[in-house]
Amino acid sequence: MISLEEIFLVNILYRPASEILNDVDIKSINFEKLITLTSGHLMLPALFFNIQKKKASYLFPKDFIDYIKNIFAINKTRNEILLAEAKQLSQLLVENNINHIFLKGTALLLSNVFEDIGERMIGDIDFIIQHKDEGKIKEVLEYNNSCKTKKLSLWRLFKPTHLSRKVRKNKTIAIETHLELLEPEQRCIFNSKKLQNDFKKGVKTYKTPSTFFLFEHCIYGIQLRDKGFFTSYHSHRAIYDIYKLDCKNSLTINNIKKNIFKKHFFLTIEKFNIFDLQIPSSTVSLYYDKCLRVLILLYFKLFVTIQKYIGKILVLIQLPCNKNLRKHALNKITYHYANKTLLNYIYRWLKE
Amino acid sequence: MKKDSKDLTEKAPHSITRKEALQKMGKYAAFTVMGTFVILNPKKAQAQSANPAPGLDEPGESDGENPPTPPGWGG
Repeated sequence: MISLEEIFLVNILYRPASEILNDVDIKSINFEKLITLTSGHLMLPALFFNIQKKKASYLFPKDFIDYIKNIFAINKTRNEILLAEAKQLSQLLVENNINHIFLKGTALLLSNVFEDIGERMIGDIDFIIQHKDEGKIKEVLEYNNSCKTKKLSLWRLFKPTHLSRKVRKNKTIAIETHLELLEPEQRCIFNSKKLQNDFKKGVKTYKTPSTFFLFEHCIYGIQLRDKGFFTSYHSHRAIYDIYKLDCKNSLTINNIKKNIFKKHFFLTIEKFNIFDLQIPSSTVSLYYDKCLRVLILLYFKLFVTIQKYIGKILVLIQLPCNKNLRKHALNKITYHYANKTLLNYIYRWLKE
Repeated sequence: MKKDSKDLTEKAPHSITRKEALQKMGKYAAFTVMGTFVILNPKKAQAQSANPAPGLDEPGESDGENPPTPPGWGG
């Protein structure tokens, strides 16, 4: 069951001005609820932009418009800073010969997907580098006065999805350096090999992936990383990104029904009737999809559990020969050892 | 309860009460989900963002001299 406020939000975001009040009685709209719903999807700036564009502000209370106008203005200023910082970062990386490609919100802004820079809310500057540049980028960012970190070099089973989030000195926006696109258990479905051709184009500034890649990354992100595939969760920010990407070639029934993740994404949002897609779904195919979903979920759970234990075993193996790791472990144990006998024993053992 | 009501009227260092702050931002601020403010305020966003693969991939990211956040390994 879709709430009245969500129908109204969808109408404002995706339908022409003449259809904003379709299936909606404006007197029944709870504007507080609309704010909660829209802000939960990080869509307040996009809501304001579309209200202005479709000249629909007469439908809203004045304080409502004033409030979202402020949010839009703050977000626009922030995105201008974000773009400037992303460009500076890109130049710095090119100077150091680090091949990089911007991802997610930053890539969408750099690709001019949105009509207005203030429409999209973006948390940080995401970009991906090649695995071979991992050491180099740490040096470059350290050299440029990022937060100082103490390094512990450990054996890793899989490369991390991204390095820890950092803010460079005198900068405002955090940066997130990706080595991969998704978590290890999800990489068999979607991974950075899709960007191989983009990396081959050489070291350039402000490089962004193709529209088709951004479309796929958006869908896999919501389906796998945000678990939309298992919970039927939908995000209006992701839907809006896809709507704005306007991938007419990718949005064909044949293309979508071949891929269970894309199919699930579009089936979940079919109720909003945003994209002109009639995905055929028989009882048999729905049952088949459900079984496949359970199997994929089981595979993910098993993978994560095994990975967790192998990781712990690797740490234990390295403990006797890695002084820094021992110091790190000691620090953690110090916190607990007073009350726990086993930890007390390990603490003494490590200290010797 | 008494303490709670006292807290609400207590002046912050910037000399603005919670009631005044809400009046200034408009009543809709109270209905806005925290995530929006977290993104719009970068300082808060940094503080609240989680690090990837806690514990094993980059355990050195925490300050080795200070006691770590409980409980135990893996943050």
